[in-house]
Amino acid sequence: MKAALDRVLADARFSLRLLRRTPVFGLTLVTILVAGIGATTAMFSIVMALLVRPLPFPHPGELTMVWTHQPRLTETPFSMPDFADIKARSTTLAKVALVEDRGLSISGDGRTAAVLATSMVTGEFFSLIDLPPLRGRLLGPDDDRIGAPRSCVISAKLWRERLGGGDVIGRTIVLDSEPWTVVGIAAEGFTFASPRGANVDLWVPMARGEPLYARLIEPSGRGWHFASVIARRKPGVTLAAAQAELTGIGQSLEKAYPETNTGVGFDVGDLQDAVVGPARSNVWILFGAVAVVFLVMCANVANLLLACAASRRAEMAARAALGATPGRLVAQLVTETATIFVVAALGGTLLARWLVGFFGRGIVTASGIATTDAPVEWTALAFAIGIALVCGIVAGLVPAFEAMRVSPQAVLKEAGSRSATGGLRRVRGGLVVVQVALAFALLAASGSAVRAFVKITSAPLGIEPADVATFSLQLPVTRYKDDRSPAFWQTLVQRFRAEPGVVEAGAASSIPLGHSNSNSSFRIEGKPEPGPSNRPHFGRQEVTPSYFATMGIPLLRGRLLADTDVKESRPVIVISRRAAEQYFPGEDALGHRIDFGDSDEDDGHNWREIVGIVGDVNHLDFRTPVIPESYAPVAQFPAQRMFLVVKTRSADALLREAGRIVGSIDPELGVSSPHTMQWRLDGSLASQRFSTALLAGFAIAGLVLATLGIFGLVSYTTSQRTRELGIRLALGSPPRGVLAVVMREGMTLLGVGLGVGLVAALLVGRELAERVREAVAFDPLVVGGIVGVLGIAGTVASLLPALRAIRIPPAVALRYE
Amino acid sequence: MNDVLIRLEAIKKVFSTDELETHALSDVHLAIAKGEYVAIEGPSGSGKTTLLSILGLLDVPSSGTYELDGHSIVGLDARARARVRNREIGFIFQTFNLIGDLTVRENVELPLLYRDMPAKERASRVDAALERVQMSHRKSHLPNQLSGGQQQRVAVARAIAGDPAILFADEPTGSLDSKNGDAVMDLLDELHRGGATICMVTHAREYARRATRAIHLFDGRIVEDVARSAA
Repeated sequence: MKAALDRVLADARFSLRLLRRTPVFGLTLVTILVAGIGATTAMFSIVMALLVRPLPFPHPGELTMVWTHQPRLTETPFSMPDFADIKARSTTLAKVALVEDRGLSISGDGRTAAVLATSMVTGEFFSLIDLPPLRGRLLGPDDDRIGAPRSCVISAKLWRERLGGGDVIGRTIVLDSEPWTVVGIAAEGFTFASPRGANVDLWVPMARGEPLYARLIEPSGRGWHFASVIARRKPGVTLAAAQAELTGIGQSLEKAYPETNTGVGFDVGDLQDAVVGPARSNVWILFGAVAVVFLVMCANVANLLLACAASRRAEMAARAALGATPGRLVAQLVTETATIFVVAALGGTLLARWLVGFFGRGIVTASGIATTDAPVEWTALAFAIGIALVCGIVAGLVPAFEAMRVSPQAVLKEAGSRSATGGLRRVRGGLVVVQVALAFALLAASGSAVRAFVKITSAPLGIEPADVATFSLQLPVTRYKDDRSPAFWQTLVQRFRAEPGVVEAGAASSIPLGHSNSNSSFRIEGKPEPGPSNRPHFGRQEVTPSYFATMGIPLLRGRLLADTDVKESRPVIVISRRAAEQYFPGEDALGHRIDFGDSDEDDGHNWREIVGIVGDVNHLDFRTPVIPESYAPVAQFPAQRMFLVVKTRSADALLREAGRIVGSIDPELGVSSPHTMQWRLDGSLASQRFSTALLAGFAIAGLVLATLGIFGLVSYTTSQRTRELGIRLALGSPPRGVLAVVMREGMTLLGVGLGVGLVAALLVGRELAERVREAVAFDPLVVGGIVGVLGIAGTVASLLPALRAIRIPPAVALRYE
Repeated sequence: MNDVLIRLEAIKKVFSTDELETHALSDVHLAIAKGEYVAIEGPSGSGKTTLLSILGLLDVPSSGTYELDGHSIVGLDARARARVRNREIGFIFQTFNLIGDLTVRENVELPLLYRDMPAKERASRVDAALERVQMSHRKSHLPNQLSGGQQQRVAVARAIAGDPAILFADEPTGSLDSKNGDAVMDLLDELHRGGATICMVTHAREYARRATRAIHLFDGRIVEDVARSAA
């Protein structure tokens, strides 16, 4: 036993000595292994955390997301009456909850008022999630009714950071100027409300938190789609069964309420899919990319070890001649390879721990996913090390098998006068071809993604975002009735205009990339009624007149809104160019009147005259096409929640002061979502930018590895052929003849690799085109560029050893061993 | 002398490292006439192979002049030297130095390829050379399918296929047994009788005696230069 241990230690020492003797080889090998193992393990861990590991709630497979679909729109929110009908009629869903995300200002606790990320939830929300509270109790059906005491549940984070972490159960806090009682603290780390509601601090009952609740539950509220629905299916009920039932309910509601529900139906999906949805494609694409890099890495490692193996044939033969048994040779090489891999595994583990955080933050932050917990997957780490080790041992054992196969005398006799065996060269050549082909496919994917990203970002947004500060305010409906809110917004805008450095200020009920949009269908005066499902519709904003100047939205025809457009004056509206072209083709939209159907009187109309046409603005994000938009004066159509937009010399400085300035008008109001417009722009592209950058990084890694592969192989075979090249020179070959001989090998491998890679790139491109907006399956510019880049890299990789070869004097080359 | 093929004057060759200067050749003067059969002898480290490398344009002297057939060789660039090597010089090495991946025919053809010679002429020259060394029957074989003696005969065929002005042989029998060694030396004798100029480095006294002239090197200098009648 001791003797065996001594042998292993001796072999390990010899291995480390070899690495020291050839530091570049050792460092290259270990670096490639560490990078490959680390990156693969990190991405695998993220895939497990986001896509495979279930949501951290009891019986997560039963959790369901429910959407409505409307004519031309999918995955839209629910109306309260539709939700109530599903809750009452469904037999497949055990529990159903309606969730609306909004902000409530906390004040009166001696600290600056702040807006809390709040979810208004119906009675079954917490029993549906089924997690016990950390302290106190959770909200239930009794809390969610008109007239019930104002009760709320807070997150453990809010409890510790804002409320001091003491005994808060039963304590009263002031939210939007109203007293609320804290009845419980949610489970540690729980901040979920809906796929869009991540990092929630506060949960309040819908019936007590939603100011318009009484109107929303009325039959007339069926057209108001405003909240998300999550549900828990009964045990054993499949998604298909639930879908079939909800389809039936949707059809019956369509018949019962044709005015609001024509073309409206319900769709169910797995809640986890809804949570991960935006990131799913990115995660899989990146995982695929890292897997390809891993394969390239394995090929590279195998090639390096095969090169090492070929150069050690004589050593192995000498050992065999001195009496080493085949088993002893195998044991030595396994120990040597394992020593390298132990070093690489340690480095790979550390790198994976760091990369999980790095990749995770990029993907999670960019996609707004609630689940951010992604520990290193030890199974993934073991798998990556295992695969690399197998590949290393197989390649590392070649000299041992050679020594067993060939007589030591023959090897020793030919030492120094022969090149690598044909079989080994072919294997190594094949590995280089694989590397080039995989690098081609990766570069094609990343090139296509980069081009798509550039195309998306170069699309006009329709505004001038520079130096614009934005934040939102929610007016408590108890203190700001419809008749008071327009005056408040006017005062607030004037207050900000008076601030030093401010160029212009305005307000709007929603802003581009503000994640808050409202759509309305409408009728056009004098045109036939197309029926509920075919009515025209557009995005709807209530704005102050100065909003257009602040955001740089140009007037194209007619006039902008004016301070004289007040409640008492003629109702007016401004529409976008897209709206004018789509709904008034071949005619002048100015002077036409439209009606949103929001008259308080039955069968009454509220006609608004189109007085201006402005430039198109992409309100949603870069991923969706521009839709028709409308802008109504807030003085005529009051709004409780508005975004302030302020163009100023220093947007960041103004945002720091925004809370104080608002407080000077109403100390109980907190500002929320304070960001510059540029920040919103960057944020909307963060996910795609991160994924594109990472994909490009992986592709560059693949390119470098493939280039190294060609360089390594050509360098090695050139050194093995030094004597042959000397013979050629001695026989009178001109230097360029030797150059051609050396380069032919590299260029042949490159050519074959490019051919195979082109086919792989076409296959990858087709997949990518289905998953990434604006990506195309075959981009001649990208493919041409890759052929150029890989061609240059491969040529240089072949040229360097060739140039080195012709610099060796023939007399030296002929003595080369 | 009109028939001088090679003339070396004051040739020096110094190998330098960071700490050491080694004088491999010092003040070597040598003239070789057309048709001579010269044997260069000397103990290990005496400079035999270095001298042969300079004569064969595989290496350049540190100083001195070198004329081949009346033309100065000093100062030629790598391309011009390659051209001279290809057309005027034939090499026979101790370890044969055949290219393992090429057949016998392709190995012999190689120097002719570098001359851009038409294929038909190449083929006839290759056939003639292989015929001369009696290896025509093995022209499709790879070197590793031949015995050492056969490989060296192929190397001789390669050296003479281009009809060079001079043949340089570096220990041509060093890797062969006596029977094969004798056969190769018989071949060189035959070539010499046919008019070839040969310059050979050898350790073997009995083979050196076959040359018409013996040059003895010691410590990088020619210490003896004697003409003798062929054995």
